[in-house]
Amino acid sequence: MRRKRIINTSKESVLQDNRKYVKIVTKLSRESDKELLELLDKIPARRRNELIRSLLYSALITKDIAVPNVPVVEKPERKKKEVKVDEDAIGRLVDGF
Amino acid sequence: MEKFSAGVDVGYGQVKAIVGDSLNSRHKILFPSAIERRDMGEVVLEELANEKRKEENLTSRYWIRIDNEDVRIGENATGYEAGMDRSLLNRDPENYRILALGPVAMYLADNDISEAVLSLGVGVPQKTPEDLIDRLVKRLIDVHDLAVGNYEKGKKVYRNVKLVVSKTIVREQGLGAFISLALQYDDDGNILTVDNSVFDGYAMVVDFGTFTTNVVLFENGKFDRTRSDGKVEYGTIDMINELETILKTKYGIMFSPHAINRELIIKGINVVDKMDGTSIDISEIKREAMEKLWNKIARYIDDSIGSAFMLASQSGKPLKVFFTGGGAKLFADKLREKYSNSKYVVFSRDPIFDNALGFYVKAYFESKKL
Repeated sequence: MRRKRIINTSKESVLQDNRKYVKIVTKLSRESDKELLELLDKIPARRRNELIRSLLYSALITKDIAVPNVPVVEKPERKKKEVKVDEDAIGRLVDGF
Repeated sequence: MEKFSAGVDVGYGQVKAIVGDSLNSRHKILFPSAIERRDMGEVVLEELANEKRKEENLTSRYWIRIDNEDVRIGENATGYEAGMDRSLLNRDPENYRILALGPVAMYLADNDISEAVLSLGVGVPQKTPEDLIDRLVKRLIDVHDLAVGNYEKGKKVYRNVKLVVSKTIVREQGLGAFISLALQYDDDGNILTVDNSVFDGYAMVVDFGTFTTNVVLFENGKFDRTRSDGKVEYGTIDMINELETILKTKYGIMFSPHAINRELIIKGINVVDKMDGTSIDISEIKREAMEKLWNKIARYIDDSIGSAFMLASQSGKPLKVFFTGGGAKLFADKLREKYSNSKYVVFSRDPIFDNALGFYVKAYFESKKL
């Protein structure tokens, strides 16, 4: 039989879930945090818990807010500037590894 | 067909990937190192799919197929099981779906690319037995024929993506970063040529990872295994532990194990209410936690650089030290404060992706041979 996970679903329970010992007050001081909450509001409540975790971990590493779980793909514009690349030299470099 | 390449750095905390069709046309992907036990989650995945589909009128690709089962990329595993080390600790990588290559497959499918050559770097704890590493890598590669699912007119349609693994690098995680170090760039980050100076003497790569900080030494461009065992069991994730300790010892605030609040307090939420109704601002405690962690790691780095410096001085060869990894970004200010006057220290332009870039360059040239 397939197992089913039980996840807290209500918005309140996401915050209450792990705070038997401490109550967190969500005082937001920065614009990016407001954007974060707006983003979280759009996500089904049952998944919010996991998303917050991953989102904030990403934030710790990158010091920036990035959409978690859904891959963060940076799509820079294709370089317009023509660059002369010495592919022979670079090819020899990586051949050694 | 356009040849695409990918360099993927599978870390304990994050998968860093670079995908592209030429050295200077490349894209970065950052993704949690998510794994999922194969015997869990299937029903919820389906439910989530339906939920998400209803909410967002889903048309974009959200699935990868592994072991003939659909996995909703990213959403299922993170928060439950994250990091390759879990499968290593349990010694059963075969029982996990490893999603590391999923985002790369999604990117390729989005760009109508069905095949790409891949160089893969996998970080494993230093004492991991060889047979277990082999099994983990096999498990990673086993799932490299991925199908990315999409809804079209209400029906699920799959697009196959083949990832041809040309090179797998285990343990020598600093190798990718060394290749990055050995390249010359213009101001826009375009790769130009090789910086031959790194092949003269010693190059030390200090890789600040999520769970560990590694030091890897290269002599005249050759990986020096005997001097590369240096590793400290501290990583960026330990900032959370430091924070927890300070809150517990100084303020009597405790968090339940695995509490998401541990992450909540890292960013965004600076005020914590105690049970007695008073509240405290923890922003200063965050700074204190980072300071404590930095002091632990800095001592180790100092020792490692000191040894390398001695080695270089005794042999009369030059030394370069290269800081890389997520922690190099987290501790960027500390590192600059301490080492900005040191001529032998090189600061990376994009420390999170250094290893992935090195692997990408390797994959790019491997793809040209095919």
